[in-house]
Amino acid sequence: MLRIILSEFGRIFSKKSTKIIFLITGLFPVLIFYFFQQRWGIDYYIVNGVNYSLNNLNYPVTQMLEYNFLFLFIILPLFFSESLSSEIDSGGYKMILLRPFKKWKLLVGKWIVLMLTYFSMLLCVFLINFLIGNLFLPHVKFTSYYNINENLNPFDSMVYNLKFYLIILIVHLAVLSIISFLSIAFKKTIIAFFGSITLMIGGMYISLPLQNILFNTPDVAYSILGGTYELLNMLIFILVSFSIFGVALWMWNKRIGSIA
Amino acid sequence: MFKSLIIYEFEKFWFKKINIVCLIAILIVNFLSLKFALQSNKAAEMTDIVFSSSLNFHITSLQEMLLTAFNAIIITFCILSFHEEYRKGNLRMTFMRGISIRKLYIAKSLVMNLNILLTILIHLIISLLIALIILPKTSSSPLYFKEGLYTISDVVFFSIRYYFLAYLSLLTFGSIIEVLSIKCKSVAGVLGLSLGFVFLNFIYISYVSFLLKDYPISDPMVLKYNSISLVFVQAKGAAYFAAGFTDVFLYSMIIIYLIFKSLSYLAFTNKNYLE
Repeated sequence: MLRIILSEFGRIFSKKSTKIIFLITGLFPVLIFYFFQQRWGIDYYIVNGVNYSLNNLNYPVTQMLEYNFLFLFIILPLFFSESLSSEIDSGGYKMILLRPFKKWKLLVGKWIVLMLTYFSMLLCVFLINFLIGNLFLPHVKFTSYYNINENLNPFDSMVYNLKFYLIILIVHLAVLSIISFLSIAFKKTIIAFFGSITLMIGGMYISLPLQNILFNTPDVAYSILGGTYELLNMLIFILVSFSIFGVALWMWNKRIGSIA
Repeated sequence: MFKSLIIYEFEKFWFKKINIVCLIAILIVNFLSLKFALQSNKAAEMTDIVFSSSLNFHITSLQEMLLTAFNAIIITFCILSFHEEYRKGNLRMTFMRGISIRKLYIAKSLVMNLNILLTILIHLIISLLIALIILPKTSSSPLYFKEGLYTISDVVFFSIRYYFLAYLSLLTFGSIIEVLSIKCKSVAGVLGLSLGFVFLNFIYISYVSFLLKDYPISDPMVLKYNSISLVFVQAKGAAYFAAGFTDVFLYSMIIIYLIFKSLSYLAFTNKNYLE
């Protein structure tokens, strides 16, 4: 399994697109800071109509709305679909399938690598935002968050921030399940890419909770951490994602030999 | 010869299943618009612009979907017609028959333009039918960027102008994607750059609104700067043009279309491809 993971890592990081996505990941928080804070002077953020002022402790969680939109609807579908379907479509994956590995291990290896790569991207964003917050934002010893009455010290605030990023990660990884399913079902990059976006946008039209989870992910994360969110919605969302992962794995086992 | 080239391109286009899926997607897009319209109708008065009726649903649904679904369809069409055939080398088979690469490009462009027209016409017909069957029937309706209520003749005039600029904006977007499709080596590259282009447009619009924040949003100066942005033309420009506010969006679209079409023509007819 370790060899599969290392091989996947090697292939993913040898692609130019991965490097470009990492570059965007690094530049995006800086651009957001430059435009929103430096040029337009925005020194507050709003959660459900309540204004909070920005400071070094809360800055990393307050700049995620644009990031969420860009990554959930553009970058992640592109990144995942290129990694999953382009190799199958071009026939290059045959070389991997020739090796004596269990088929399911190959897909699980891919998932682990994609998840770890995206985790490192998100960590990058957090660290850059953390750095920007500490270098340029007003320094405070305590800060408050949505629906949390007591003021949090730097350690508790950091734990809050990390939990916030974990929720974002969980929501964003749902894209991987859809892309996996579409890549195996249709194998074309363009179908996996547009199909996933169509499914997400279509789902948003049909279900309001899904619309909130996908479109207002930061607000949902604030509400979950503030204890005001209906957790059942998130639970259903995670269960559906897991089911799609399961279906994708089943289809992979059945079909990969004939479609690659 | 040229006629058979066009028929061949047309057949090739509709032979691809994804293009058929795109056409079926228009039906789904219309139903999603309808769902949104029924929801917003609950909170809106009949005189509000967001209120969708049998008279204006074809405009509100296109306004909602032009920037998203239609642009996605154009990207798909261009990737399949230009990127896949050009980059995967399928076109080399065509040139074994002594067909002029220039004529092939013209035929491809004509077929693409015709198919985009077909797509937008199908959207018009479906949205009109859906509106007639499901939405409330009215004798007058409000129109974007115009005061008061308008009768059917005004709505028809507005619709023709609106659909014309929407069509032109799609052709322009298509010409940009054509260049990217021919130049990029991978599908992911074309997709990434196409969406990057849309994203840059959003940044440009935000920058213009910041730069000209002292001007009213419908000031000719603001509209002139925004006319360079295809996304602005699709989001608001087509309605400004249809309302008779300004023609700057028409000129900007024609100029951008001609520039990118020329670039695409030069890239496509590059002799190196045949060597």
